Amino acid sequence: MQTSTAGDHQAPNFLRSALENGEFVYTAELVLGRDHNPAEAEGFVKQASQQADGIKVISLTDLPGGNPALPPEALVSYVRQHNLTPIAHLSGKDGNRSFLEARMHALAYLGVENVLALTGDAQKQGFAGQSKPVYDLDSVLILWLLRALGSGLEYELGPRSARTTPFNFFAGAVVNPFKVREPDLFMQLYKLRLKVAAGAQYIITQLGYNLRKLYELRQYMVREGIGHIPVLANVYVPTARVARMMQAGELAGCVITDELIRRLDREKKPERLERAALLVAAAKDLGFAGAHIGGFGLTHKDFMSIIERAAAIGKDWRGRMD
Amino acid sequence: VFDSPNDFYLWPQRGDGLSDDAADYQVRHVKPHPSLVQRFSGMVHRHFIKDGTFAARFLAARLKAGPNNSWRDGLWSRLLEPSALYRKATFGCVSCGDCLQDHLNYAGCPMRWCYKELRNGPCGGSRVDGTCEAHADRPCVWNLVYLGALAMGDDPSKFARVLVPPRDWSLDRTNALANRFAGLDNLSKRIDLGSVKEETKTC
Repeated sequence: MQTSTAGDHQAPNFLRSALENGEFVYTAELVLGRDHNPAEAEGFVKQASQQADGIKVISLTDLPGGNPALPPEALVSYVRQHNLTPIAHLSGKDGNRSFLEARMHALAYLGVENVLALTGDAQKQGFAGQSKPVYDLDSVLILWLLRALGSGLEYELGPRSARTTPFNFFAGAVVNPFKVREPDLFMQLYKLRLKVAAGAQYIITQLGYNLRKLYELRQYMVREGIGHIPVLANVYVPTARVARMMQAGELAGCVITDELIRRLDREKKPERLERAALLVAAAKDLGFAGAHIGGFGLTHKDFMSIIERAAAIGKDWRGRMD
Repeated sequence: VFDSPNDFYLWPQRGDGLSDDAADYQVRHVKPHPSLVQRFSGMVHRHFIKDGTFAARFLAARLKAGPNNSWRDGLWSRLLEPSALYRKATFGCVSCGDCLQDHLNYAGCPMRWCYKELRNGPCGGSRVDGTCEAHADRPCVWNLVYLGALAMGDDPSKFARVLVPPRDWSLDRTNALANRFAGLDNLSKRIDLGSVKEETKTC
């Protein structure tokens, strides 16, 4: 594998090693904002780096929700310098195939192996109006390009041919197993298989609160011969306000029931964290490879509380689910 | 478990509340009806466009793409121009010139009806009622493609195997049918990943 030429710091890839060794892995999703001062995210990374047994993998979003934001490239070096492992999200919504390849080379230069390939949300408001939707490559084709870069891409350089320096990405993909209707669900699952065939080495699910559907994903993958691909369950801690936005479609692709919103209206933060801990415990017991934890306004202490409570719950989650 | 009303599950429920994966998938048993456009387009494809048909061989021999676009001004290319009107009237064709309607069983064109113009299956953003993330007043075209494949007696699991390359923008606003016969479009570049093992191919 080609190592980073910018590699002032050679942190190990905790994600790859944990998944290859069958260790349950916790990842924290940090949503980078529009501001170029990510003090909050930096603070989280610092705290995580000081915790011996906690979050070792930091997932950095790529302009989520169709809004302008700091790209993951801005923070990956900071994460690596703190002995943590970044996952850089890479979506096709804002740049064409040339720009995406350029970003992949930039990530390789920065020593970032873990890339999460996404199609990307629909565009929202940007500077002076709505942005142009790009989507030149979808998630499958981003995976295909990442895979091709593993052995180097041949291209013409004047009269001779050249090859890009190979870089061994650890490519991930996303699936939404919570679809309510047969056509939506089957097309999601078919696309998941296509993503795996195109090079996805691990999967992170869309957020959701239906454990039966979440586990059906694992069952489906085993049945279709891709059960060896590790799956991280997305454990998102919503507030009632965020859940309402999801239900209204302002945050795309989320299935939120009226009953969940009623519960969230009554609950305080400790109850919401406890639900997340139950979901983590269930995911661990049901054979998922890890938990991808996120939530608006969550502190590092909240993340640790979820992890510690999940450990305490262990296999007792069955009798305690909503 | 927070169920949605009429939630579709792959399998029936078992005693512990999860699904019993020993059973068959609970897929629909009533085959959807193909639309008239699907049937007519499929018939034309089978008899006149598909590789190996007399018409395809005849036109492929006469439509040879050259280093510039002058071949498009030839008689045979011009004779195919009315096909663009049919595509526009039936699929809302946007003249991407790199058509994949045969792969989609003529059920709908994502270059026109998918906000993200996706060619390898849906994004994850569709709403609970199956409508588009970006346009709540229209169905996700990939749902129509799924139903359209079943309606035409095709197996939609092909979408789990066949990788369609990215759109070739050099074909933008050109005649898709002429491009097909000239061998310029995505047909020969689609990759059945079910048959790819370790080697890496580039699109």
